Amino acid sequence: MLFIDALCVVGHKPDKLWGYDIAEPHYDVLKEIVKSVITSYGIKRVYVGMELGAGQLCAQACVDLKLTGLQLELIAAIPCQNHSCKWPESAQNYYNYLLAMCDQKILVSDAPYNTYLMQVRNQYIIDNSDATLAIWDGYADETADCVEYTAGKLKPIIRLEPKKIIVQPVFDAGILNEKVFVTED
Amino acid sequence: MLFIDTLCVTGHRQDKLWVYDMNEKHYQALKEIIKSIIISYGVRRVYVGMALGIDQLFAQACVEIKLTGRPLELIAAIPCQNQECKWNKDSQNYYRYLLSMCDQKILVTDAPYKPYLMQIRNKFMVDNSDAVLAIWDGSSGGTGNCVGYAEDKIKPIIRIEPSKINVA
Repeated sequence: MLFIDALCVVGHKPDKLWGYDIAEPHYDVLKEIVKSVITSYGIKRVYVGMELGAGQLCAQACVDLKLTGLQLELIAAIPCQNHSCKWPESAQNYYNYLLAMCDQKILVSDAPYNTYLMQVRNQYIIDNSDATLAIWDGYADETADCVEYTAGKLKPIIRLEPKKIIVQPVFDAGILNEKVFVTED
Repeated sequence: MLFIDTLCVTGHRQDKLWVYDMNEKHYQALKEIIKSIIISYGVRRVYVGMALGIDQLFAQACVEIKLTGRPLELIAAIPCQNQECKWNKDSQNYYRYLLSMCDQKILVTDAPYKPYLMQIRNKFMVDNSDAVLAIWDGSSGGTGNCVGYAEDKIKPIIRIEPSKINVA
């Protein structure tokens, strides 16, 4: 048995995942895995950084779970003022929708946008969590820094490697459906 | 709060760590960190493969915790027949002492020694644990394979990088 009270999520932006269209089927597979991690480890509180890509996908996974009635506290850790100001309007609208679904919004720094503030935000969510979910391809970048920071704090890391997320088309009941699969290589 | 019921360990042998003498201070510092992880995460059961190096250091940490009176089930997952037959006499004696302190001894396979049996033993431990403690320098090898397997099973991994163990 394993019980994790608070989990934070770190991971890549869409350019290192499957692009900016969140309707891309890999995102849905990944979201289902994230949901199963949250439910099977009895997580009660999730910190997300709300960045495009992994952060928002996990926020959406939490929203989905909350809508099923699961007790789950979703906390947005916003790195700075105007986090979303350079995004396209549709992305800003989606961001505002996700924020509206959060139970708590924490402005980690009150300064205007600066790259290093993302790292401050990441350390904040790791420090406040019992474990880190890392959607990480294994290469050096900000996500790798988060994994290393977590390891340095002797906190557990649950790693999901994007290239192991497989969308398998299967012939089912006469129609071609996308079916969810994770493989081991 | 984090609670881990069952933990297993994977890690290097001495050649990828410090010296062969387990009394060396890096090993002692690492052992204290291992003890603090077991205690602070409320671990109640541990699986250890009993190889030389990290495995036995971890087993020793568990024995020391048990000797303080704290309940902790120490389970040896022995990969094969005669795991210790090529070790020197001192190592064999120490191995038998550690085994005698285990609450359970599981012979994962009944075959004679083969390197791939170590991997079967690792998978057995990961499958039976809630989380994995990996003392791992990032290189490929038995420990790297074990970490990859734990990731595939979506199990939490607590990673300690040997180069970050400081002895002030």
